[in-house]
Amino acid sequence: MAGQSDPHLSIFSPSEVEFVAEDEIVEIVPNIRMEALNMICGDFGPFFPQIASKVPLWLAVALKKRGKCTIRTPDWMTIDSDCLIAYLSVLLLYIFMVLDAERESPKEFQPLPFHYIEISKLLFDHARDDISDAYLVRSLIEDIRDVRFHKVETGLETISGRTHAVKLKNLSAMEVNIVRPFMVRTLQAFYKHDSPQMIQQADNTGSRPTPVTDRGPRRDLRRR
Amino acid sequence: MGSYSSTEEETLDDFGESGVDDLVVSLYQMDLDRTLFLLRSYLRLRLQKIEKYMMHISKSEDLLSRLSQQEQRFAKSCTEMMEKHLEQSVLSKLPYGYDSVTRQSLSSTEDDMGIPFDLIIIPEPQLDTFVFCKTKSDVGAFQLDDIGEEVVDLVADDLYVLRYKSIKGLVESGQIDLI
Repeated sequence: MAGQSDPHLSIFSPSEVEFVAEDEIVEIVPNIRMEALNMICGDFGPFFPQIASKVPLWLAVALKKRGKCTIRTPDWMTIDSDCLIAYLSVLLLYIFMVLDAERESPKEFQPLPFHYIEISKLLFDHARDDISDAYLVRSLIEDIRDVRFHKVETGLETISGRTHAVKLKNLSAMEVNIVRPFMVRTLQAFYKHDSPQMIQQADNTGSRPTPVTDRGPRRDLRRR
Repeated sequence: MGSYSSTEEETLDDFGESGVDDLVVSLYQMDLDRTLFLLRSYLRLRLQKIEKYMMHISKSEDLLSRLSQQEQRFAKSCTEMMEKHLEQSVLSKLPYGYDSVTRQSLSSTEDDMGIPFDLIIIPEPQLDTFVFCKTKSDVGAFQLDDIGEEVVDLVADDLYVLRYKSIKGLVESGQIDLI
């Protein structure tokens, strides 16, 4: 398994994934006046008090930490305010709907932002007071995460020797990162042992030394 | 790259002196730090790859041309040092015919299937491995192997796990992103 054993080349740490997520755009409502910022990652502003503006998440968090703005909760993290009173019985909430749909369809993932885990974590850490019903939203997101991860795990069980491609519609960045080592090694192992060359080698064991065991399988041999 | 970030740094120093709001200065500083962090990680990763596959890279003109001048120098001196080290520590004590860095032995340059043994000694990137990727646009039915047994329908903005070798062309033409 040479080439895969080196973790530095293929795996991101959770904090690196979070770093990438910090470039996602969110909406803030500043409470100060500030000139436009011409940054390497783009131009933002100018900012006026009480007028919403779009900035990357890291900038929003930095301003929030200094008490210069409130962060608008992204739509997918909100609970519809009309049905707030009846939220436990009526379940008309976006996030509830996601969770429900997630439980209904065992094979598919519901569309959520690619970085939903990281964004929600950062917002809960730094802008908790800007989120309405933070406690409920947080537990719902955790539920969604668990349900989705369970799906990933069951999905792993279906991989077999004939699997040459896996489709993971709507899987998020953090989920990809967690499942990457297992997924790649499983597929790799099946691919290697499924290759005609390996089967052929098993047939005439002992008749010939096999110096090529750690080389990639060669599909072209199948033509015979 | 280096010159760009140093201009940015100078701008920041000017800001500090000319009395621009501290908040704005610190925000620009964060932006700069993030960019530098990203560039450094990128360069470090490239160097790691070069170190791992230096022999393989220095064999091929095409691969060498993808490196920057500094990286080419690094790859070259790395290879030379490795060869010298192997030579001094082991190879010089082996009998004639077995003392090459790139070849297992002089007499058996090919095994009985006609595959040269050189490949085994020089570490090469494993292109047959599986990667996570996201399609940017509709590709349509895409053939994964040479004989057309494995065909996938690639739809825009979907996530797949595929063999790198088969989608290499799509990655290079920018139709698909690795993630």
